[in-house]
Amino acid sequence: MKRTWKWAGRMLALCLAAALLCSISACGGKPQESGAVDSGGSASSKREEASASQPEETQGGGGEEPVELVMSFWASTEPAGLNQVFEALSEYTKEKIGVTVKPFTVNMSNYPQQINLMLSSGEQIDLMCCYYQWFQSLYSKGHLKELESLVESEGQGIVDAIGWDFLNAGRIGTGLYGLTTNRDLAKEYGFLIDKEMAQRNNIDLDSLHSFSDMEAAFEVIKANEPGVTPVIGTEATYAAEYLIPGADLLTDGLGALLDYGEDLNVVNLYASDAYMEMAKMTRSWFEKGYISEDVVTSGENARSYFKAGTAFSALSTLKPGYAFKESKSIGKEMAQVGVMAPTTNTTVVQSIQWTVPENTDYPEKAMQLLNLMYSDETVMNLLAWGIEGEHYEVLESGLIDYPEGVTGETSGYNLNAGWMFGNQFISHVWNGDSPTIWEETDTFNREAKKSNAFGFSYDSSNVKTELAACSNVVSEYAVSLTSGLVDPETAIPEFVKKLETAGIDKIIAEKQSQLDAWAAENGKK
Amino acid sequence: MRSRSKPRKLKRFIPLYLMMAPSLLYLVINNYLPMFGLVIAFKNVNFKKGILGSDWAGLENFKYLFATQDAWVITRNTLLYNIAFIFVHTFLAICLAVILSELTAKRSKRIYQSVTLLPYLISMVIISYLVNAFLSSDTGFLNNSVLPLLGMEPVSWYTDPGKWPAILVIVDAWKNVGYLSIIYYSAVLGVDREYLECAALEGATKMQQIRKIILPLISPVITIMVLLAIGKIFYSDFGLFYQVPMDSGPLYSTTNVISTYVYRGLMQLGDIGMSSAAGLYQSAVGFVLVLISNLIVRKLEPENALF
Repeated sequence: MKRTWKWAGRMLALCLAAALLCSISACGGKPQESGAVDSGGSASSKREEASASQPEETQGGGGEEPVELVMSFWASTEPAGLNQVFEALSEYTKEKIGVTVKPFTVNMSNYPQQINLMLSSGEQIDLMCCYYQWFQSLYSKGHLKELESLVESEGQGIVDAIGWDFLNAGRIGTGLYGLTTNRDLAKEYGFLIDKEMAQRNNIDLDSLHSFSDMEAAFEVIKANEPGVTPVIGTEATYAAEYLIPGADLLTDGLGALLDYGEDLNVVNLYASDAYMEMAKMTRSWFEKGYISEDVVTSGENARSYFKAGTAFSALSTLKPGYAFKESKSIGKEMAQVGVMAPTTNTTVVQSIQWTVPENTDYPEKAMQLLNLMYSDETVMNLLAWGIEGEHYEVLESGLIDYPEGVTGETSGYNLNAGWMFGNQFISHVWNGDSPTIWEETDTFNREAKKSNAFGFSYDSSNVKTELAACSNVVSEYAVSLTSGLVDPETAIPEFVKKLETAGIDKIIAEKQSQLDAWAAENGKK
Repeated sequence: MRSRSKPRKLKRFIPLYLMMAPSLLYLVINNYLPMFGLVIAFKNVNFKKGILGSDWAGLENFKYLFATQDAWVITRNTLLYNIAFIFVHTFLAICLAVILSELTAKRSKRIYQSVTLLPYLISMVIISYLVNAFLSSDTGFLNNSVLPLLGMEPVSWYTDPGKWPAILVIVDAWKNVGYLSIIYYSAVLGVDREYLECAALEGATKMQQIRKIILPLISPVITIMVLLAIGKIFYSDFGLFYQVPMDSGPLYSTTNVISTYVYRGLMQLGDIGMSSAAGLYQSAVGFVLVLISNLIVRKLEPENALF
């Protein structure tokens, strides 16, 4: 018996030693540590060489072998024709810049986790689309490459398309880490409305301009349409933005600017009068039955209610042509009603950005591809609409539509996500949409009221503990408050007190000091 | 004898060691190698610098777990729910196992077994909608059919935290008891029928047979299962606590557990240092609890202890 133990002990020691050895060698292979010779490190040391002296010998073979780039973005369901479109794209980019492109898509809710895992395990991603808060977290984990010099050398088309005015929103500190796509770069908050239902109830859509106008409409609907929920709230944790004009949430809403940031004074949004007022308004909606509790808890999105005909309106972010786009996916005629003037802030611009991961082997190639996405119509139309003749056809008017016999359901490439790829303004316009939609959007962008802190974004790495604790508190209260499920008079004081114990003041102070530094540097006040 | 037999003994066991080797290797690769990752819990991970190159963070990563008054709530919820689950599971699963073993018709026995196992195979997301079908405030079965029948007012289930401990225990039992009962069922089958026949001849009632014969004989299995459950007492079924209450904010006071807290806190940050800190904390506490409960078992009934 004793022997066995001794033997087991030795065995264990051996195993641990082996384990240690393996783990050390596995880490030795990271690009920073030079001189990794073991097999575990070979993949990454090859990468190191490749990035040091690309592109000549990457494939070893004769001449200019095209480089394969992996481009990642999200799609609710992967279109059947995705690979076909990317093959066509690769054909074109191979000629242009010696690059073939491989798509990688996941649905949006899994996207951050999936990409985080891939980046951590060193899988190849060369350029990726990324959205707001997640952008910050990728930055603070050191995943993102600084892009300024690359943009200067390879990305003139990007600068021409967007201009530094908006591109600067992709900065964290002084470094440029994300490139916003050219799309609607401002937000107008308001409602998406079932047009037919409004007409049936004699609601004049043109007369709706404010929350109180909307309330009157809700009342009519509640009285006339049994079984219909007058307004679907939004599940978004930062829904406060939809309801408080001029609030700049500074990425995460923990410490925000009110009134377009006139005084650059970071305050606790949830303790502000504006928030209390907003919560009282939604509470009254809930009490009058305009918001349904089931809708809030079921987690279904507004579209399914519109499809089923059981909703009259939904809180939404609007942009030119939004109702048309939604009509197409809901299959019903929708109308949009803005109740707040269009505004823009860093968070809005950062919501969709292209980034290049730190450990890509081909940063220049990735930037060249991005450059095409912002400046080359062929590339942009492929990504936005698919292959001409197969997924769309150009009409005489110059607009595009589905080819004969193809519908939204049967089309092999129905992402409808031009806003996600580069420069939407150089892509085709869909039939039925305003032919000048891109000009309109451009004006919308330029005329939107900018937050005074536009271009500022903060680095959260010093307040991670507080952020984690506060995020929990916010998810406990925010949705119930913005949808009126709880009484603000009792819930908000509780909410604020919990936030304070969770350390929101430290986050606010950190934001304020970074904002002050930024303001001094950019001559703001 | 000892010294002489050493080489021979070793030789004799070589086939056994060989048989053990694959699983040992598996254990090392899967359970011991990743332990290196524990170091992440103490690091401020930066992918540019690599895991070992990242700066040390000390206990900074653990702080958020204890930063708020929620720390107490989530620890209490996690522990109390798991204790409740252990009791309810064990009790119901043994009942079910004994009842199944008493059934003589083979067909119906199989049907019952499958029926009780079925919920275990359903995903929590689906269960959450099954529960929603009962509890939904406007269209739910309870508010529309059951409560009016009893002359009671409709209840707003998803905003009333007081009701959720009961709901969660019921849902969890419904899902898991069938599976656990299979283990107890096989233990009950292991009990020699002759004891029971003997007891029956002597005039022992069914209850007496169960209490005096079956339970003592399967008690080692019960101990092991309970000890294993105690080891996971700081973990919780994420789906049960996140999906089933539909992530409804007003319910957090009774549905927030360590796993959901960590998830909500880090969903946006995605900081792996902080999430490993939570994992380390959970497993360390679980480990200590297993040691303690094993110690107690050893004190009470030495032959039932795990080690």
